[in-house]
Amino acid sequence: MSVAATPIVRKRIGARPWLVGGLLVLLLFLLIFPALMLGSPVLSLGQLNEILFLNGGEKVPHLIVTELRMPRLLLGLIAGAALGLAGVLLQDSLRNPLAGPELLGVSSGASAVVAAITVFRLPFAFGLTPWLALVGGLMSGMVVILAMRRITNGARLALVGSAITALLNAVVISIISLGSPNDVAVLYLFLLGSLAGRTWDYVNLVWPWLVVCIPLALLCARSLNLLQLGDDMAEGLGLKVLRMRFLIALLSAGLVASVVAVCGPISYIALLAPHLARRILGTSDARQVLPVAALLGSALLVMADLLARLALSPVEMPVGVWTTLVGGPVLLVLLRRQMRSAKQ
Amino acid sequence: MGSDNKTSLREISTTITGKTRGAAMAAENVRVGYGEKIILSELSLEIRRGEITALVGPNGSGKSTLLKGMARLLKLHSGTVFLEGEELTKMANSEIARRLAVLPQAPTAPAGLTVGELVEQGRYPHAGPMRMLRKQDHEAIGRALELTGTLEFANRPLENLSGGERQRAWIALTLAQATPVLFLDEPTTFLDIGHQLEVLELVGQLNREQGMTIVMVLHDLNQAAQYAHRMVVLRKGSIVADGAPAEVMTGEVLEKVFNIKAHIVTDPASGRPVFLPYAVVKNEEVGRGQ
Repeated sequence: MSVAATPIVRKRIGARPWLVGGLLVLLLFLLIFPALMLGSPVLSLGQLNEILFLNGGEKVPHLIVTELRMPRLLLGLIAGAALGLAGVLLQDSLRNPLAGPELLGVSSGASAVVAAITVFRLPFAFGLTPWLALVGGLMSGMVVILAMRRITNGARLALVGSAITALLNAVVISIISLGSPNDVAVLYLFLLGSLAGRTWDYVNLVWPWLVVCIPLALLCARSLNLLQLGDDMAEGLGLKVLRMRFLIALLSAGLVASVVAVCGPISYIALLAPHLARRILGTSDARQVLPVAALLGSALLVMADLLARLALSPVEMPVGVWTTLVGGPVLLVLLRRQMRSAKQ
Repeated sequence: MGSDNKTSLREISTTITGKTRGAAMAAENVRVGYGEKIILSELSLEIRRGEITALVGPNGSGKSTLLKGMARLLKLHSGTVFLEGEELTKMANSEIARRLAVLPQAPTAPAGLTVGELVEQGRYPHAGPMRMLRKQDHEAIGRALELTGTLEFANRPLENLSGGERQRAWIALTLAQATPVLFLDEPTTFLDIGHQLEVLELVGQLNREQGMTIVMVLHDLNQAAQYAHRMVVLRKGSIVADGAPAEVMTGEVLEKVFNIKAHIVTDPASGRPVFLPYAVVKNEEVGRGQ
């Protein structure tokens, strides 16, 4: 009975995360309209309605919406979410604000496979390329993760990751240098990262992975919160740190590999979405940051892709260029603010 | 309030009976180090229940290594550590975390983390399968905040607190774990003297009122003598003295371990020994003495 006297501190989760989440869902919903309507040809709401819900409309716009714009939008949404989640997983588990999927060597492995297929004209059906890229990405990711397995020092983990990635990138470059100008142009587009011309086949390659990996990523929230307190503290609180970090790295590779295989290495989304999410939420609590970073990743990638399609129309600039052009400065501003508040 | 809180933790610590004659923990012939570098070899130590044990010694003597080895934060090359008579390596990590709390030397906190959120992490080993907090978790968190006097700033971010308040918040996290045994690795480092005493007073209070068994690595010998029931002195990876402060704090031990000559006086208030150093012993003499 006497225990009842002790104060019970209930954490106020507050309205903010729900508000932020709700607004982002609304934003994603609103993005559907420009994503499906804008471009060439520009469609009216009425036409869109006809195409989507009445299965009518003229043949060409109908095809453009259902076979090009819809898969592209969907791919942008799921790829963005995957990148955002992978960013949170890696940044929190490695306690490194600059950690991203690049560290896992997944994109380099996928790029190396695509480069080899293109330059050496390996006899694979064109439709097989993303699958092979996926295998390449997963394999190089496994190599990096296995190399990282026994390392406990966060800085050294990042170094091992970037060393192996640099090596794989050198392989990519050397393969490219052997290629004809035409091959180089094709590879160039892949290496920049793009959503252009991705059909339902690509979407079908990506979504099964994410259906499995996204819920698993969200389940890591409590462990990530412990890992933020340092390895010793986390271990002392009952977490098997090395095993958990290994699983989290595997999960990140699973999230990113299919995305990279299909879209190429799209930079900055994985870096930016988590930082923005923490900033907006005002907390590092992974239970809130994970879902919000996923929504932000989707929104950022779809918006960047709209820019890619429309800004210099009819020329299309790869979405990877936009994420870097816009993402870089935004990240700088975020980090500057963080440093300023850290100094106080 | 204080008297209400006494029961819970003491119950835990008395209901568990160990095989090893009242030892809360025991290290047997442990060999431990960082990677290939062995710091301690064939070292044995028993931690008696209900006592404050201070591990002291010069830099590099292996006192933190011993603490980490016993707390399974460093892998043992050989030897065994027992917690209430059970082998640590045969226990699930979360089971250990329900019986032994550890505050490492330099834990990190993400920006914006509030004291309440921090302390909540202490319930991790107790939480259910979905890791949701239940009534008993909220009670334990509230109790930990109250015991450490951090309840009033439960909603403040850690970075806005003074060093002493922050350290109390970290201790609150370990208290939320509700373990009978608590390990502290240099809990007073980086604190000014007022905050050091604040933390040590809290440690003493947890021992007296909650019956907690506490093992801490301390730098300051006088503080160790003041607050600990037992001092274990390490030098170059071996235990060179072990006993009550009055037995351990002798001119001989200080000279052998720290290379200093000192007067030992007794604090009239506490009856504990205090040393006043007055000279450094040349290294060669000591080296040869070994």
